[in-house]
Amino acid sequence: MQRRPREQPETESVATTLADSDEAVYNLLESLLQEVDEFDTQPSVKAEVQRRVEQEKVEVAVVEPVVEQVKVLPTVPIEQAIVAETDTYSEQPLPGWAKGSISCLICEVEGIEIAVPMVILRGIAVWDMKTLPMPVQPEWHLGVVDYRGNKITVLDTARLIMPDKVRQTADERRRDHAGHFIVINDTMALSCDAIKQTIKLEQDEIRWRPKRPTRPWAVGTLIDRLCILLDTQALLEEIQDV
Amino acid sequence: MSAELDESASNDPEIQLVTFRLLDESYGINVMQVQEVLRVAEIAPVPGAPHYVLGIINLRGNVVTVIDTRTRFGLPRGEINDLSRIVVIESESQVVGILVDSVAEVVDLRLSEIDSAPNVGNEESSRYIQGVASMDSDLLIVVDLNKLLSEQEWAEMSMF
Repeated sequence: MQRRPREQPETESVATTLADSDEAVYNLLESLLQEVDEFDTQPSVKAEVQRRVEQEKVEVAVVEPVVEQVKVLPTVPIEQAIVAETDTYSEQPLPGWAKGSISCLICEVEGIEIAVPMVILRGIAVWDMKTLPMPVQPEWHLGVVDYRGNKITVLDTARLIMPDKVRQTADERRRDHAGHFIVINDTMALSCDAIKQTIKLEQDEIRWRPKRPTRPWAVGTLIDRLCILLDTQALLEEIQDV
Repeated sequence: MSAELDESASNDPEIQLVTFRLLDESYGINVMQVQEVLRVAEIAPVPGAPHYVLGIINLRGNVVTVIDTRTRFGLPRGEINDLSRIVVIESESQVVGILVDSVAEVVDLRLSEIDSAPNVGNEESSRYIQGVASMDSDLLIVVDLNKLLSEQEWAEMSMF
């Protein structure tokens, strides 16, 4: 007579499997803790360990193809990576007027000379006319004047290019304006404290700034006078970005 | 014996430092990085420059940026007088001038005589302070000019 094996419930079979695993691990640990000369290579433990190792090898073999499919990106040396990240000082084109001989107007703003190319100027005027302050405007907006029938906004040059040197408040500057303004396009003018002279410069008298990570409006430096050459278009673009 | 001395010298090289004064302290910089020392002439301010940039000078047709060393070291600004000098240095491929209260002398030191300065508190200054050396009865702060400014700041020195 053959006894039919009793089907074990699922949970009981899992428990049995876990118990077997625990016992195998226990036996393995016990064997590792024994003295070498007393070490008894229990076939069951060795076999179990070997089985597990083989199993892991199989698993690794299964995983490996997946790993190989991963695209390995080319490594970049750290120094190059840092340079690539920080090398944002790309050259910028010089203005169209920055060629050949350049006639410039030398103005004084807060005691500092700046050079403005004559070719872009629409006019120069003594700032002694009525100026209309506009509500809710930035501090560099000094007001609107009527210049030859055109409504011109006067910008505070000092506030724009060297705000740390400006001591007066915007209201004080709007109220106590003096000096001159130079008209740079149909609607905008730059304030200045004094007009000094006009000069003609050759290319070798200017140190150009092809890279302008800061102060994009300082397109160059006059070597003899040590003053900046102002790119008024870049200045306008900067305030429009604000 | 001479071989031993040679080996000792190569392991502990001698360096020469140009020393200058700021406020009440003496500082030293590598003489190899010093191009020249100038009396202070007109320094033209540059609109929009960082606060530690005094301005620019015309050095034989070249525009050189001048740094206020006191400001850079976190010291109060000083008055320019007859003893003030602009030390023109080269670092990180840039030529700049550093304004100092006065220039003293060139001293010889062995590298072993420069003790590392304890890094306490100010991480900013510890970046460019190489160490401290004894000079007669005084202490000399040895400055690593290459670390006076960051890489980006050095690059911008030529853009004024």
